[in-house]
Amino acid sequence: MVKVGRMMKFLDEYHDPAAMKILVQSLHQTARQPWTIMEVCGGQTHTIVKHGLDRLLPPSMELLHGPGCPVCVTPLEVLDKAIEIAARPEVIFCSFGDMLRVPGSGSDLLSVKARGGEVRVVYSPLDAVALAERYPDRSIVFLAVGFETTAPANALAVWDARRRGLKNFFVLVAHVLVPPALRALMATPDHRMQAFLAAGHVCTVVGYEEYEPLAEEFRVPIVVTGFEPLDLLEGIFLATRMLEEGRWGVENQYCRVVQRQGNLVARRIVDKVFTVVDRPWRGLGVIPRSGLALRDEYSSFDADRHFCLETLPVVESTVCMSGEVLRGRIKPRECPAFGTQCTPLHPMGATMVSSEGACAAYYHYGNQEDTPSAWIPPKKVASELGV
Amino acid sequence: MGKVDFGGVRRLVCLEAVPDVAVGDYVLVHVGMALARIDEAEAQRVFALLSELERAEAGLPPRDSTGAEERELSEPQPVALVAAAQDGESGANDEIPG
Repeated sequence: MVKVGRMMKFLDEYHDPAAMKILVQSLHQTARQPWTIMEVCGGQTHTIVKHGLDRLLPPSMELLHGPGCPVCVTPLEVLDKAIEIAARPEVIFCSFGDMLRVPGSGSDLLSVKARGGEVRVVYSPLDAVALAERYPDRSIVFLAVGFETTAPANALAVWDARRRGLKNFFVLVAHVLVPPALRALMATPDHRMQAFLAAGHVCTVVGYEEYEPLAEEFRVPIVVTGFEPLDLLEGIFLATRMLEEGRWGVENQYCRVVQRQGNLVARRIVDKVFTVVDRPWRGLGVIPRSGLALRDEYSSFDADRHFCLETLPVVESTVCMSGEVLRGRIKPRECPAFGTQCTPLHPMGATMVSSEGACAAYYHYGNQEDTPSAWIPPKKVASELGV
Repeated sequence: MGKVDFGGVRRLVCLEAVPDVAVGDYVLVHVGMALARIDEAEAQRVFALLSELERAEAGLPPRDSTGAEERELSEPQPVALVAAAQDGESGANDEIPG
């Protein structure tokens, strides 16, 4: 958040060290066992690592970083297709910025741009629709990746393109859904997660009804959690309290934004345009009913179909362990390539590229004992508490 | 569409999914689309919990409280709408938060 010398309501108060101190103290008093909690979303991972929140926890507690990074789980096949489409002379290829440097099998979108391909970073898929209207002789292709949070805007873009009668707007869709992935993780026999912090912004759209049967079936606490430091600490505290009391179910920490049924208007827009399909996740494999694809009536907007792309064999790095990182099996530093062969400037895997990737978070914010935290207040809190 | 102030940067945002939004409200915006109006009363709840925890630590009984009195928040900014959401130190346009 760029601050222009003033407070930002609903943000600054969630960075208050005094409030954080109360939560950390309560957490230390509440946690009697060595609990392991996974925060699902990469945005939450970044807040945790950036602000050193993991170092404020009781030493026996551990946070595992989940697969909630859309860039990280977008399959290599999709990237290779995106790169192939972007290289065509008639195409203006539009994408969110952090997809540009994700390595495909042989290249990346930024290299296509460097070689003369027209690759543009857009803020919103709606901007890509506007481009389609402005350049009727070009094919505008938008790389529609993301979780439930991004789906309404992408659905609306396709809906709007149809409404405007545009024939030169296409989307390459690789949308993924969080609850099926959580189910897949929970069903893995040797996983270590005892509770989950669900991604608040995903739940803003779809609510948390779908998490309730998951919490029941696997008897785990799931806390819908926001993205500011105080949100994360409160989410961790609520999950720990449920674990200590032997309870499971869904609690909503992010109630200033999230309602149980989500945003019904946004859900309707998504449902109008997309349908649920099986989807491969990079590093995790195919997960049943875990993705969105265009409905048949919108298939003329499908870039995959329009450009008749074949699925070519992909070449994954043999060194990069991002799949294990995404599953919460290892921490980024346990990968032999971390920080040596693999850095944000020369990434081997998506977890190092994305602004939400766990490897990028560890690289940018250190998080090692001898590296000072990037943010002062938690250190102050830590020293006052003697943790 | 409506104009949203992101802490100084203003841009047009799709308000289709937040039909009850009014000028002066705070909204959560993601890739050009407002997804929620931020609920002022609910926003106070975290501070109610804090107050409860603080009292528990001091050995005091829980207060019969709605939590609304715990904290005074700054006044709303004099702008049409203010987005308080996706933090984007590197610029919001290169992030795809989950």
